[in-house]
Amino acid sequence: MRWTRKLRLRLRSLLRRDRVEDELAEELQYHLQHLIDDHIAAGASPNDARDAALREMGGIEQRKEECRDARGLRLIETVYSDVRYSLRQLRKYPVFTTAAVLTIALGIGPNATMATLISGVFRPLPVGDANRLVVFATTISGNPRIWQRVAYPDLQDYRSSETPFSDMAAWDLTSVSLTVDGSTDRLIATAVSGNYFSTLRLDPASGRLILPSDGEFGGAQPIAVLSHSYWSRRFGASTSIVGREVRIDGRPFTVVGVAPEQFRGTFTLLSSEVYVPLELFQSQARLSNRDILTVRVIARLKTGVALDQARASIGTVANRLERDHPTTNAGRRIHVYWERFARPEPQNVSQAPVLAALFLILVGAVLLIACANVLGLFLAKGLGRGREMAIRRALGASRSDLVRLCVVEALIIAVLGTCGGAIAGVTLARSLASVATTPGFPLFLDAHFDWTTTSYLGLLMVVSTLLIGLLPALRASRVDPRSDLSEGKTSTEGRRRQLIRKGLAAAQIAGSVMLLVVCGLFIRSVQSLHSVDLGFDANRVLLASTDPGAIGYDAERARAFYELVDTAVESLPEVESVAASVFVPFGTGNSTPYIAAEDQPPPSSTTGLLADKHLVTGDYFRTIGTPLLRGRTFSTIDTKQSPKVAVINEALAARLWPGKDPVGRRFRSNAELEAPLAVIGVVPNVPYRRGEIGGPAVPRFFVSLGQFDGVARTLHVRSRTAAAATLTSSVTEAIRRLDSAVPVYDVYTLERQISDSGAGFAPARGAAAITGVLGVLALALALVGTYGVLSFTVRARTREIGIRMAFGLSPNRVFRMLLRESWSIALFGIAIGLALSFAAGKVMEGFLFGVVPYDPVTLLTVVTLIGGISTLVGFLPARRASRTNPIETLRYE
Amino acid sequence: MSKPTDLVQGTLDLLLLRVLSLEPMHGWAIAQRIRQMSNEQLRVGQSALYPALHKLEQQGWIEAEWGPSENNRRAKYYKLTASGRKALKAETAQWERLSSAITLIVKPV
Repeated sequence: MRWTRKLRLRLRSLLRRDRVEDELAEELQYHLQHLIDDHIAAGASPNDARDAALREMGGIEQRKEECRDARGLRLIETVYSDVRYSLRQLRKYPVFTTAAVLTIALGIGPNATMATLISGVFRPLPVGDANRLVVFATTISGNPRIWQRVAYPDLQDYRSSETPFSDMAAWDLTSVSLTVDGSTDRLIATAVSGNYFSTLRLDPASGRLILPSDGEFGGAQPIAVLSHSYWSRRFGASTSIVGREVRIDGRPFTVVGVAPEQFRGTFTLLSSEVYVPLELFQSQARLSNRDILTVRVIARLKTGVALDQARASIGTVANRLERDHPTTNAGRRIHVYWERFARPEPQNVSQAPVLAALFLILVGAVLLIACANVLGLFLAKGLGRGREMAIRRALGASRSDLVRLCVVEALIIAVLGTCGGAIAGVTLARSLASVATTPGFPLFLDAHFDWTTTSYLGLLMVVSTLLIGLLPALRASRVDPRSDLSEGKTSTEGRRRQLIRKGLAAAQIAGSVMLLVVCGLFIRSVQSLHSVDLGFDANRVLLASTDPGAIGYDAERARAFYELVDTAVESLPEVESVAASVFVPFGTGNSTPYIAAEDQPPPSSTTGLLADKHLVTGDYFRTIGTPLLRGRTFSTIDTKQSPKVAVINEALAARLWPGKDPVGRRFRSNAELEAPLAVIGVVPNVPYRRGEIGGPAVPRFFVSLGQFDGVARTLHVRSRTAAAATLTSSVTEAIRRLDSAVPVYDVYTLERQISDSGAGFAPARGAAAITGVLGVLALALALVGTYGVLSFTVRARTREIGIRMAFGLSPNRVFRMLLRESWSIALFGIAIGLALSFAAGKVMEGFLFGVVPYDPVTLLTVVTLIGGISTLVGFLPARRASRTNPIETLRYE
Repeated sequence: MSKPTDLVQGTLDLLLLRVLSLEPMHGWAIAQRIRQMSNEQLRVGQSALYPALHKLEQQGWIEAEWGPSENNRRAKYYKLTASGRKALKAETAQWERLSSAITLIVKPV
């Protein structure tokens, strides 16, 4: 109780100052009146009595001051008056203040943007007790790869074993077409096990969620749960949607409820709009196959259990499964990660935090440069203020008064700059989040301004205050009124101060060198990605995805529909050829079965070779521009009834039949165990994944859409010209004319798919763009800072230069002397910057393509650029100094 | 022994607490009461009295409230709080220890 009363008293003294002051005056006045009365009673005249009483009190104001002291609020009150004083001062130098605040804002802005986006990615899920959630990933001993999914039978065994998990839920992402009231939306859907929502401890916004009692599988009448955002957007948040029937990919579903508002699913970069039972998007047969990794797993760790303990206990079960199912589980292990750090997927667990840290360091460097810049301004101003400080000292201000004044001034600049920068930065983050899209992947970035970001920016504000305020404060504390007030002490400064100033300029150059090198490396990565001959005619191919299954077409009807589409599109004037494929190069969808040559044991995850499988039509290779090296491609003779055939790439041929002609040989895939596939043709290794560029080719085989079903397909339309994008509307219309209800989506060129998609070059291009902006910003700040330092140094040395010239130093030599100085600063900065770049390059090595961290082209370009510009920057002050008239400078004092 | 500055450090607090333990009173009355109780030996000057009162109030040992005074004007009355009472007990004990210790030394053998 006591401290609350104390706090109340203090707050009262602080916030109701007038009232407290009045009361104090009244209290003392009361005392004074008693004294006067006493004196009158003793026989003094009223005037004499009053004088005597006042003498006794020893001055009302002193008494008041002592009482204020006793209330213990002196510090706050003096800071308050310091703030008022500083504000007046800063208003007096509007140019200085604006420059300093803007510079800090420029430094804070990128930090605010980056922190908002990063915090959005790593924010705890909006579910109950999110800190106990973990995700599972599968690894196979001896293979560095991490698989995001777990075999469903394995999951069931883990569930029934003794483990420190209270719940394990299975889920996966898929995109679906949802039809209601005759119109169809393309949505991201999450297929979930019955306990998904209960594991996450979520409550419905309306109706009910999918419950453990719904079982693992959909049952006769499948149910669906809508996301809050889709419910609001599409149904105006009307509760009448509960119980209604919708069609998802052509099948009837009953909507049973709506997920809570904040919840967007368990995949960070996507916003899931509908939730359906697991089995509806993975057949029972696939789910029960222990050899296929089918589901993503999110689990809840019991309270008080350490992650290591959980890992150990999962390991014990994995060992048992390995003994029980040696053909599928040999070497198979489950890795457990905290959900929050395994985003967006367990594969990224070692990358995403590193990348986040790298970007925070880069934007931090921009802030450091900005602070160095402002500190330079403060120090330059401080030289002019030496006299002011000395006078204050002489008038009785204590050292701590002067120090406090400097810190308060820095604080005001930092607060204003941080607020401005934060507002701008967060606004930028929001607009970036709303415009950032990648083809075929509705990227969702959460740019809420939250407490994490706020406190991070608060921390940066304190750091910048110290950076820009501490040095001026230290100097103020050393002011000596006697020597600093004496005449002629103002114009030349000591070696130490010059060194500090030059050090600041060098540090700014070093920071911008690092940022520019990082940016250069990313730009070079993008260049080298683009310079690789991918083996596609990417700009001649238009992609267009359709899904007749969404409106109820079965496989046979879809096949007939696609034949019509083929004819219709092929007859368009600009079209050279048309093909279809279930997956696209550099797309997110894929199928990766294990395969083995026919004479080998049947392929399993332990014995087979992992290969990419694509379903395509016969014209596919000609359409995308990949030559056939040997054999033939699919034709009309390859039907459902004829023997199954495949076209393979060279990498697959080399792995299964090294040194032999593969055409005519046969292999099995564990996804199509019933019949082996006969090789009819070979194509070159063409990269379909980013890792293949500059890395090993992935074994890949193609099967025919004439022999296997594929209801949702992506048309590949080859244009006669290099501008396939112009076909967009004619192709879309041609398909719509055949059936206007069939959804057509993701219509863009293959070139865009490669360069802008998340699985393509988008990350590298994004990184290059971000670091490019940062690099230019840093360079601009550093140049302004360096110019300021150099011209200030020259000005501060006017007298010295005047004397030297009076003694016969030629203007030319003055010029060279000063230019040499600016070069020495630049060289020093570049050297440190290069060292920093090597460190940064080492960290980002894994994110670069076809370029080494010490790429000579990048380094040389940056060094030349910085060297050239800093020469220019040094040139102007040096020339000005060399034109100094010695007589004038000496008279100046 | 007339000036409060001559008092042992912290003694004034003890005196104030002790006087206020009798009844709530305002600053002037406190000064008067200390004078009377000490047989005119101790005079507490204003320069020490009010800061000491404000400090005790901040510490939460006494609390203040405005009330009518004997000459029908508004005066600020201080009264002891529960924690003030506890503090008085502790301070008194402390003082007794100290004074008996000093007496032991000062008393002629």
